[in-house]
Parts: sequence; C-alpha cells; structure tokens
Amino acid sequence: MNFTEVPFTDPNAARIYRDYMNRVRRIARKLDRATQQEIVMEINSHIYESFQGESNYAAHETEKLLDTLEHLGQPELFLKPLIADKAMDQATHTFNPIKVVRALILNLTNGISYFLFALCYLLLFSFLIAIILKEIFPTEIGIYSNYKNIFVIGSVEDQYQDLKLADEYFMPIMLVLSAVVYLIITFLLKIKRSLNRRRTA
Amino acid sequence: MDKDFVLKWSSQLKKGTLSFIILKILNQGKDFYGYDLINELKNRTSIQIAEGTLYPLMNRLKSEDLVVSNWVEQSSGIPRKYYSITSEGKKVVAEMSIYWSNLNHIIHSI
Repeated sequence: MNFTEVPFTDPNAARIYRDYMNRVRRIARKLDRATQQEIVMEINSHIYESFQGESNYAAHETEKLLDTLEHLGQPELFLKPLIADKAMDQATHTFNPIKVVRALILNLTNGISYFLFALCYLLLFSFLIAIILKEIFPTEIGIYSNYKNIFVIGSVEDQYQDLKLADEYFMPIMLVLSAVVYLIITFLLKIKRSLNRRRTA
Repeated sequence: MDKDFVLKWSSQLKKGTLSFIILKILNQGKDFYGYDLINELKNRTSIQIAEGTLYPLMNRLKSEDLVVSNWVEQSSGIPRKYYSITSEGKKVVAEMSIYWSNLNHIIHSI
C-alpha cells in the first residue's frame, strides 16, 4: 500500500501539512522502513479523516488543518512511546546490538525526568546533611580540592587536609547550593506538570 | 478543595481505564479506524484525549495480541487502518469487566 498525500488547494495549508509530515518522518526514521511507512500512513490517514470531519465548514483550509493538527498533538511527544516500543520490538527480534543500544537509549529518555529528579533530591539532601555534619565534626567536614582531579564535599584522609578550601564559608556555600538545587527542582516540576497537562488535555 | 490533586487523579484514572474502554468499544463487534475510534470515545464518554496518544496505546494492545489491524483501501486514495478485537482481547475484556464491577461494588460499599 502506497502513501498518498492529503490534497490541499491552499498552498499555506499544503506547506503546514508537509512540515508536519516531515516531523513525523524524522521521528520515525529510527525504525525499519516498513514500520516507518506504517506510522506515516496512519498519521496521514488520521489527518485526512479528521480534516474531512472537521465541523467548522466555513473555516479556511489552513484554520481547519491547524485545528486538526492541534487535536492530534506534537508528533515528537505523542509518537515517543510508540517509537520506543517499536524500536525495542525490532531490537529484540534482530538481536542487532546497535539496535538494542538505540532502543535502550530511547526508552531511557522516557524515564530521564525521574532520573533528574532523583539526582536533584539526592544533591539537596546531601548538601543539607553536610551542614548538619559540619556542626558535629567541624574540623573534618569541608570542601577539598586540588583544582585538578580531586573535589570532595565531606571528609577526607589526613594526608589531604591541606586541600581544604574556604572553610569559613562552608555553611553559606552549602545553603546557596541547596537553594539553587531547590529552585531547579521547582522549575523541573513546573515544566513536568505543564507537559503532563498538555498531554492529558 | 485541592483541585490540582483531583485533576491529577482523574487524569491518571483516565489513562488507566482508556485501554479497557477501547477494548469494550471494539468488543461490540464493529471495526474502527483511529479517528473513528477517537470520535466514538468522545461520543460515548466525556473523555477527551490528545488524539495522537491513541496510537501508542493501540500499538501496545496489538503487541499484546488483544487487537489486530488491517489496511483498507478507500476511494480517496488514503487508506484507513481498521482495528478489531481478537479472541484473546475478548477474554481479557471479560476479565477486566468482572474486576471493574467488583471494584465498583467495593467502592460503593465503603
């Protein structure tokens, strides 16, 4: 079965449609040719049917198409789980190590937000615990660095004690770092919440 | 009232029940193509989904052998991909329906 473009009389609508389909093709490129074709044809069919069924009869072609594409969503977002699943399917069927790695990377990006949150929270708690530990062990806890390959926040062996930096500013530095990580978490949460709302709207 | 919490909860509930609702619609015997299925979902329920999210879900149902699809040529030249429920899908939707009824009963009895 071959791909047939949705016909538009308005050149603007045709351009918007082709741009959208190119985005779909670009995302599907990670898959084998037959699966790419299947995805492109199904999205194309959806656009055609939705465009035909668009209730706003008086509207201009471009407006109708924009409505259709808005309802369908951003292909980079809604196709992501589909591409990740298909890539994993193909990888496990072919046993091709390159495909397996690609599929793992695709699936990893779905969980990457959780990884980022876990990392940020770990950093936040670490900085706060460092402040408490500094109160209990004022001479051992500090920031140690030789400006090359050593950077430690915490305690080190006696031989590295001379690498201690800005000991008198340890508390303010930790507080500033905690505040920065807290702001990053808040920012990430806001982004994630707005993305979730857009997906479920 | 924490509207944000209710919104999040209802969105999770919608996501969780979407496959069940779709299987139930397909279980009535008619085959549906993607856009048609979305319209049926809108007409039969108040659930509004971002239309594109249907396709990853249909792919998952297909890879679980609960639905099958086939392309049907159209006079427009743009074919439709029709989905139909498999015998395995029918068994699963029957089990899901029992589970749903039990859950509903439990919630009402509390």
